[in-house]
Amino acid sequence: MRYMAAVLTGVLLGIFVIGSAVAAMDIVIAIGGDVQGWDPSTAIESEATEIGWNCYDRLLQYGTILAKDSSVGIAMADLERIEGQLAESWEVSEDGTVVTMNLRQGVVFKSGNTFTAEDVRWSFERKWNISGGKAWVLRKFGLEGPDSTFWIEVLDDYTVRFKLNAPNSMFLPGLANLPSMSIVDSGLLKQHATDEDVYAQTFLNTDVAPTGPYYVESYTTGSEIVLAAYEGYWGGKPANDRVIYKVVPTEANRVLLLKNGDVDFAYRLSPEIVSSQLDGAPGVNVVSVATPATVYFGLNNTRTPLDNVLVREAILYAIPYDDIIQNVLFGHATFPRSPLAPGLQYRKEIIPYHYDPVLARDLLAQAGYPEGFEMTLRYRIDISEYESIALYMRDALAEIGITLVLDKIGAAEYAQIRGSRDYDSALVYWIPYVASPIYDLGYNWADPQGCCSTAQYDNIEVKALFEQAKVETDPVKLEGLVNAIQKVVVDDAPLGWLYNPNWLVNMRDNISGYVFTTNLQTRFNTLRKT
Amino acid sequence: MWLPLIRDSEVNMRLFLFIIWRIFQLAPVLIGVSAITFVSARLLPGDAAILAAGPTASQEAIDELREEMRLDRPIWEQYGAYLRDVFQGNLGESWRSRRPATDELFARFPASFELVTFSMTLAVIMGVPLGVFAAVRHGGRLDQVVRMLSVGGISIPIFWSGLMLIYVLFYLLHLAPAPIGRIGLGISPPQHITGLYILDSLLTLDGRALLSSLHHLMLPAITMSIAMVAPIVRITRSSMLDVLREDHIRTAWASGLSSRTIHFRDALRNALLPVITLIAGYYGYSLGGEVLVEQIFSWPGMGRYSVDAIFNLDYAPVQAFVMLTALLYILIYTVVDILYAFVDPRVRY
Repeated sequence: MRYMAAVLTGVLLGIFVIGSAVAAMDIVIAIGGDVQGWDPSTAIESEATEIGWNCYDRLLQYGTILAKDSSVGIAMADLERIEGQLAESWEVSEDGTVVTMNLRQGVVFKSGNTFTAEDVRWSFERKWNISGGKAWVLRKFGLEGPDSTFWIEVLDDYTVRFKLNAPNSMFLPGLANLPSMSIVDSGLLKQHATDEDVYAQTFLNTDVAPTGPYYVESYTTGSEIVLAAYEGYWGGKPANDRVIYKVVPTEANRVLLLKNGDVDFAYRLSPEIVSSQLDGAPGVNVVSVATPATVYFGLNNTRTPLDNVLVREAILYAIPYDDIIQNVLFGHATFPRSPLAPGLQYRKEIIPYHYDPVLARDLLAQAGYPEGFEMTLRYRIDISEYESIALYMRDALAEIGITLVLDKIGAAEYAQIRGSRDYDSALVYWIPYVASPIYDLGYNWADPQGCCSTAQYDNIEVKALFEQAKVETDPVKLEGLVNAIQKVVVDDAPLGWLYNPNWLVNMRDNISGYVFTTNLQTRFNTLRKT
Repeated sequence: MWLPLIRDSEVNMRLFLFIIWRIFQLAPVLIGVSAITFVSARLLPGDAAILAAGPTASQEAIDELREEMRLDRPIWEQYGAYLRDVFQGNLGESWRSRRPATDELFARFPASFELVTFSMTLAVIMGVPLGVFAAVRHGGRLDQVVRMLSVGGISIPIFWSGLMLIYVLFYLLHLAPAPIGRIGLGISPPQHITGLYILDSLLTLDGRALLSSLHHLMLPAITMSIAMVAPIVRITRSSMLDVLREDHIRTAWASGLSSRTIHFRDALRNALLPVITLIAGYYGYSLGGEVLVEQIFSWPGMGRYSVDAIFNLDYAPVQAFVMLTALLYILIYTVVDILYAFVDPRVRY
């Protein structure tokens, strides 16, 4: 018996001292959850989208510049310079409705098929036709008709033509910025198509049909996804042979792995854990970079008394913006000075609202609510910082007599009330996926019944200005219209602009070449590990 | 020493009929379970079609998906369609991965099975002898120590002991591997035969994979067995104490049998029934739901997957998971009932 125990202990100890092996140039990323289905036309979760961002190319891409704030020390997408990716050049007709793309020649898909205009046409037909696809995005871009033949046409092997129903300033930025605009290998996918699944969705959710710098080499459910460099990539084979996504669900473990050097990146860490665990940690480099995202204290403008502009102004003056940014987000956020997302063109910094409880109480009395009133705040339970923000808001509104009832809800219920606007107030995260002022203004302020109107803000003047701005091609006139919309919106105080959250890149300090993109996806082929 | 029972062909026949009866009982249980799961999954707040369409989708896109997911129909119609699919062996498709729910569960089941079986084996190897010794040296110093340890094992939350073990053994001492799942980074899993890494790597003589997967199994298995061993020790001890007071044990002592024979053959065998019941219940429970251990050690098991599915209103995997768990429970208890017959010859079917 004793001998057995000794042998057993020996074996156990022996097992404890074996290490693991990973090639030096491989990049390892600790992610928070399992990745489900990465068909670029239907992927929603951000890691799934990132796989598509790396495996596929789009027609266009943004150029890169060094970050304006040099202390950030990284390169960023240059929103003012669109370059060709699979398209080599493009022409927009005089009236702005016909876009002709000249495609890159000599590009070969991973399967060995040659990339041609037919792949572009079929990729767009696929986005348009599959359920859960991107027809509604393409309609936003001004593509119209019962099927794709109405707006895309193959002129020859290396030329395609898009026909828009009107000039549209979102079309080109959208093609450059949206991972869902990826071009897939039509030859390969047709081989995997079946009668029920003509666009090979089942295949593309767990495999890839790419021209991009990487392809999915292996996938172990719930555990890891391995991207391998594509030798024949037209832009040159990436320096790192592999990118390994490792699923590590516990945040504390992702931090330990990064500190210990077992992984090169740790995704999805809260600002609190970053500032308490990673600031000044040896070997770790945290880059905190401004994003086009905004967190709103969303107010439902259709409910009394929130339909009263004085009440809304009172609330906006009662919010302790600095306390929230410093104490909840540990400085990894900035105060939004404009209703337009940071980094977008024609952004005017005109938001006057700041913390002034005396003024707030005054405004509330003027509105006829000197005694205050009661309302609820609904927010997602799975985002750790929202709980603290909600508590700050409750205390701050109590100061001016408003009783805020807190109602935590799950992500699924949140998705539903986001569309139905079943709330008095809600904490809402918003990011314009297309870096265009038209996209941002349109969703937020010109479409009260649409998916993404947080306030259900309905203003005839804004709607009229927006209809003009949507089709305006003259930059000077467009700037005037965008400014006018911003002015009206800010004066109406439709909701509280709480903060612009920073994007936290948590990486080892031997990683260089990181380029920040406004869609928050990392393209790995620019990375170097030394 | 228990096997001779099977020689009796009449018993054999009865046992066979008993197993058939158990399988026959499966159908109503599974239909009941499926109905309850189907309805309760749909009572969760939120709308799956909206989630599946994505945050900025238009109403038409959402409606189209709702129709495809059958969510526009009345619930009894949905359930009818679901049952028809199930009888054809189709447990539905996950809307997140657009793959059959069973694919994912079967890919994950071996991970859960390997971890829970290994932990349970550790816990039984440690727990039963400790319980026996504690009972034999009733009131002695060993008994005190065992009692203290088992109280500790029950009361320490598993997420705390798991994180502490990781912090000390991985982060401070570098003895344990990083908590990144079943096998080391850059080591390819053994060729898929059963999906159990240890068994597969033994079968394919893949030494590297065997060592790495054992290495990665250690910490989660120890964490889990800490919680499992405590109740096993306690029930073995109390059951042994009862048996040790009985007449036939005294007779055995009087006949001059050795203490090892008395304790392990005469007493333990009689004391085993409640222990087996407890182990079986715990085993079935752990197979279905060790979410915390899976979470902490990034273990790609079934528990974590189904929790994710619940949060995302991914109905098909949730339903498939509950059915599988129900099936496992019934299987385990059937095996336990058979085991009873081996342990206690008075039990007949």
